[in-house]
Order: sequence, then C-alpha cells, then structure tokens
Amino acid sequence: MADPGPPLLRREFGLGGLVDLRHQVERSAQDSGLIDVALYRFVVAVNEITTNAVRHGGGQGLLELWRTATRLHCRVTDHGPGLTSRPPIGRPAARTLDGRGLWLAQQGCDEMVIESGARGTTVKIAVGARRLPLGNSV
Amino acid sequence: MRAVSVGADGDGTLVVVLRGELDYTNSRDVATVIREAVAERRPPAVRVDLAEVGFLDSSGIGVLVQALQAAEDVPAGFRVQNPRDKVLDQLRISGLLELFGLVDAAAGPGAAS
Repeated sequence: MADPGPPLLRREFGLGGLVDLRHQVERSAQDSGLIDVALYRFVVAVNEITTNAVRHGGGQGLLELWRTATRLHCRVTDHGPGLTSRPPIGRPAARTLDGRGLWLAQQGCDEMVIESGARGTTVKIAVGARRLPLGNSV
Repeated sequence: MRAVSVGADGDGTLVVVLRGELDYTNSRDVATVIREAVAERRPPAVRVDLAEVGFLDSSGIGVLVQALQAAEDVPAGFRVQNPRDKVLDQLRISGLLELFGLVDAAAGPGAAS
C-alpha cells in the first residue's frame, strides 16, 4: 500500500456522532471524486463499519479517511472485545433482519481487511480506480 | 420532520411514508411504529413509500423486512414503492426486489412510480 497522505478526516466517534460523521465522510468522498451509486455505496460501507464499532466494539471508535494516488482508504479502529463473526461469503438471506452490515459494506469497496483480537478491531476498506476517477497511475 | 408517518388509502391500504435517513440510530423506533400500526389496523395491504428516503443502512433494510413480516402476519399484501435510484440499487444487490414488489420498477429507468 502506498504511503498514506495527510488524512482527509480523522475523528473519534460514538453513537451520538454516527450521523454527523457519515455526512462528513460523504462530503470528503465526494471531494475525492466518488459520485452517484459508488459514492452512496461507499458511504453505506463506512457507516456499517462505524455502526459496528458502536454496537460491538465498545461503543466508540476512531475513523481515518485518506487518499493515495489511486485509492480512497478508510480505517475504523475500536477497542472492543473483538469480532466474533466474519463477513458472510455469500449474500445473506433476503429476510435477514440483522447481520447484513458487513456484507453490505463489502459491496461498497474493492478491498476489506479485518484485524480483530481481544484488544479491539480494525477494519480497513479501500475503493480504487475502478470506481474512482483518480488519474492514470494505476 | 418525522422519519415515519402512517396513513390510509381510499381502499384501506395502510400507507407508510418514510423520510430522510434510516439507520441504526432511529430504525428501532421506526420499526415499532410500523409494526404497531399494522397489527392494530389489520389492513388488506401495506405500502411503504421511500420517495423521501435519502439514506438506508442495514438497520433500515431491517425495518423494511420487519414491515413485510408484520404484513404477512395479518396477512396483508406488501409493497415498497418509489425508491430513489441509489436505494433501488441497494435493495437490488441485497436480493429484495421480488419480496418488496419492486421487480417492475427495476425493469427500467423511470418505471419506479
């Protein structure tokens, strides 16, 4: 992975900050060139991950958003007890009420890496050139 | 502006209008309003209008599935209508178009109403 540039966004959050943070992520992602459905899917993806941190990761987390030459990256870190489940490999059943979040998040990015242990969880996602018109250095 | 309001059509269809952003922070309250309205009124059909919904996360999708289940319990017909393009895309990738009666709307642009 290329060196991260200065963050576009770096914020700690809890339940009360989820909505405002989502709006900030949307503005930053839009400024980075994401548009239309790709923008919407990315915002949904980040929102699922921050919501997971609030629900299962000890109630709060840290979000960092940055760009490299060809990608937009987001990392969410929490200090909860660690994830007990992995994103489902296939699409969850249509009638699923809960447990669709990480799968939905995967649909909004090109790469997702989850590191989870007893001291917390870090979820990194990235969208790349396929969705982001960032130039020609792929 | 409330995220949910409930009314009735001339034919007794329960019309649920959702607005704004539906996410983890408000989905439980919205689902409760819908479930209670469906259980109390026992309408012949339930229609959920998404025209004014700009954002829906997995919890918001869960609200729609709960509304479907509440309708089935009556039993009543169930349909979701007027999702914006990005929300329709989201429901499509989640495999919910058929359950939500949106297959026709997905057939082509402009067919959503």
